[in-house]
Amino acid sequence: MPENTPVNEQLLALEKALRTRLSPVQPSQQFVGSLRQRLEDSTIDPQRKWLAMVLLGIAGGLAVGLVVFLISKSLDKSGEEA
Amino acid sequence: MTANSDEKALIDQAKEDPAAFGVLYKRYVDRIYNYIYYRTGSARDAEDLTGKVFFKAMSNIKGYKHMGLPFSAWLYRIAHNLVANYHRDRSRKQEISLENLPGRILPHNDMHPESHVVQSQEVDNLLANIRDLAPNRQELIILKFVDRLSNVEIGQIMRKSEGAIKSLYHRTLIELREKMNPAAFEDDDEDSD
Repeated sequence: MPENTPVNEQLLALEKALRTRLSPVQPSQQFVGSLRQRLEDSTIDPQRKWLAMVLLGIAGGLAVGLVVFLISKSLDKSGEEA
Repeated sequence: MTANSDEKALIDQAKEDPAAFGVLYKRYVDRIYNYIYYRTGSARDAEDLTGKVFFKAMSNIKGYKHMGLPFSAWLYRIAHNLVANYHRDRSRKQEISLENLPGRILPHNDMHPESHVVQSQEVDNLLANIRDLAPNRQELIILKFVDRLSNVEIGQIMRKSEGAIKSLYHRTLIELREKMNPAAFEDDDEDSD
């Protein structure tokens, strides 16, 4: 028991050191503000992303359709020539 | 109880309204930033990861179910996972280890003029020893002394009982004491009295 006393005192001293030396830091207010802005802006993004995906899908479909059309046309032409 | 129900209402509102999420963000950004800052030792990485935490929280908030735990516990869990990935990536890249950066946790002039961590050799030494602990022990020390949370709150974040936190805390203090030169913290009695 007497041997424990210095250990406990050391632990208490360490606890005190942790309490006094580990202080919270303040993030830069510029960072806090810009992150909030980016969070608010990104809430619009899913709608925009969805719209972009739809438009991309339509554009892709049209492109594929055009390619198929051109291939079939060229096949028809080569068939006629033959 | 009132604060809990107020928070629950705010979370429900945040599922639909980004402005309500902004209130939650403002409430917790400093705490999450501090947690990550002390876990990474870099202001730049802390900003980057804090951003990721809140973007992740915002994109998953619709699936968030209030189980009686504080909202901050959920945010800390996200932060914890991101910090774990961060350290895993860094160790894979074999970049400079945190153990070799005793002073790096202190804010540099070009990073945070508002920061007020005491720049001293003792703090460097203390932080270097904390970073040498196992991740869950580092987490406990930061939550207790930087974020000033109670054992119950720490238990909610770390998914352990209050008793388990007390026990882990005791073992952590003993390990830290063994790592440190006793003279490094015995002076504190004189400083504070």
